[in-house]
Amino acid sequence: MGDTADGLSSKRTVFVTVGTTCFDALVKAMDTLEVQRELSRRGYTHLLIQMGRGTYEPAKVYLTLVEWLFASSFSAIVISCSSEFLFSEVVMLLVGKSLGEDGSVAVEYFRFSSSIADHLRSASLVISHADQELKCIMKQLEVATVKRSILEFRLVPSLQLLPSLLFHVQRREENGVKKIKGLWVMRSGSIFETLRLAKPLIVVVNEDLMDNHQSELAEELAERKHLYCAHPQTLHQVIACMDLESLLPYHSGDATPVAKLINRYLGFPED
Amino acid sequence: MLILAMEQINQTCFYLMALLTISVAIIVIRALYVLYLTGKPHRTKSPQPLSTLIVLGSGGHTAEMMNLLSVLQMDRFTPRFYIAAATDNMSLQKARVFEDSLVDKKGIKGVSAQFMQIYRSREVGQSYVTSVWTTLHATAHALWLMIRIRPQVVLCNGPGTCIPLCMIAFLFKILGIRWSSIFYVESIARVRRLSLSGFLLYKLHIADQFFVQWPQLQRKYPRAHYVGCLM
Repeated sequence: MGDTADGLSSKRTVFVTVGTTCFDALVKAMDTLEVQRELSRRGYTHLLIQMGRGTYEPAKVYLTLVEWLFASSFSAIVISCSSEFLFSEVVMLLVGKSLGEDGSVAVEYFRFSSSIADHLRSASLVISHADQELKCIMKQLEVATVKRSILEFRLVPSLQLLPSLLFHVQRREENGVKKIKGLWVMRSGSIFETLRLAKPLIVVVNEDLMDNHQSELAEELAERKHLYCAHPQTLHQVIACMDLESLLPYHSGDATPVAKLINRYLGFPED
Repeated sequence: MLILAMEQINQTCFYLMALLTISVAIIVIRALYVLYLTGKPHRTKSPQPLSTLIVLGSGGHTAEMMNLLSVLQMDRFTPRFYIAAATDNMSLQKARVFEDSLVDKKGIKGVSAQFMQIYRSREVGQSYVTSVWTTLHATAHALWLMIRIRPQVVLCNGPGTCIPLCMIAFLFKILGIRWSSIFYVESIARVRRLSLSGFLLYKLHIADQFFVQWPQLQRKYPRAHYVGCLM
């Protein structure tokens, strides 16, 4: 196990996700030599592509799911695009695949899972996207983190799944797997979720979408140096030129100014 | 005999026309008066809790709205009515969790919150042409819901779901059924241009207070209030 851990530490994975949409231009861009050369020059060794409804199939993409999930997730750049993302499906698929395999699964690409139930059954870790109870979950996870001596463990499961999640984490540890350092779960389409997790982020703008206002947001945030913004054609340049150190952390905003104005308008006293 | 009958009809026509003209004039004057008052704050000495309609958009919109609700004093906005699109399963769930958390925090028994679903006027990606018909359908359903709710405060932040509801709230003001204050918060994703919903509510002077999250938008739409990022 220790050997693998050492081997894993040198592996740095890039996760590309297009959500439920079709974004062939991005998948194609990832499949070009230029992009892959730049990625490898920057020390990224693995590429994981979730290609949604797209029709373009990359020629050669290597990926190791277990590393991505349990070891190298900290070094991952998350390349996301502006679309809704059935995150639970994808992660369940990932987890489902990673089980019973010895650590280096070579899967070229995947779309999304067709039967959630199957993956649910086979998964030892179930993560589904649901952020409504986020604060509550975070609290519980922090408690769990202390108890189970997991260094960093942040994810966004749904509340019903939490007990089974913790059970499975525990079981993995009993089996001697101590590598669960952290797992960052993000929803594409939610740029802010990623920013809050302080992950370096490249947003690739999907030019095929009608009225794509997400690109407006991405460009603005790129201007403010919170992330990098790219088009499928310019992706390799962005990867070549980016300086992750220069990215500024994003501080979440709050709604108190709105609340103040609403209260004032309605004649409620300010406090 | 015939001439007499003709005269009778002419007279009736005249009265009908006069009546129509007068009622149109009244409605126009009333609409202008409502428009004049739109955006003018209420000044009441001891404000009562206001019945509030909260329109939940979907994913990101709902998340932003929940951020706003978490900083509003909920005892001032009572009872609360949540409306989300019928195709959106998550938003009302989020609202329920939020309302439950209020009960836990304050120990209020029998929280006065109701949850409703509405047909959506335009799905993401739907063409603007077909959205005309779906908007009409949504409007009819919205009218039925609004007659039941008659809110005093409308909180919305897009997308299209909120348009019929805001239009009806405005109509209620004109007809004197219910006076309401309409608040619209433009999504954080809108940096340079307003969304269609935002544009309509701004240009038609329907929103009493219009909030934007980026300074560029405020410069372009001076009646809007710049409030910084909600996310």
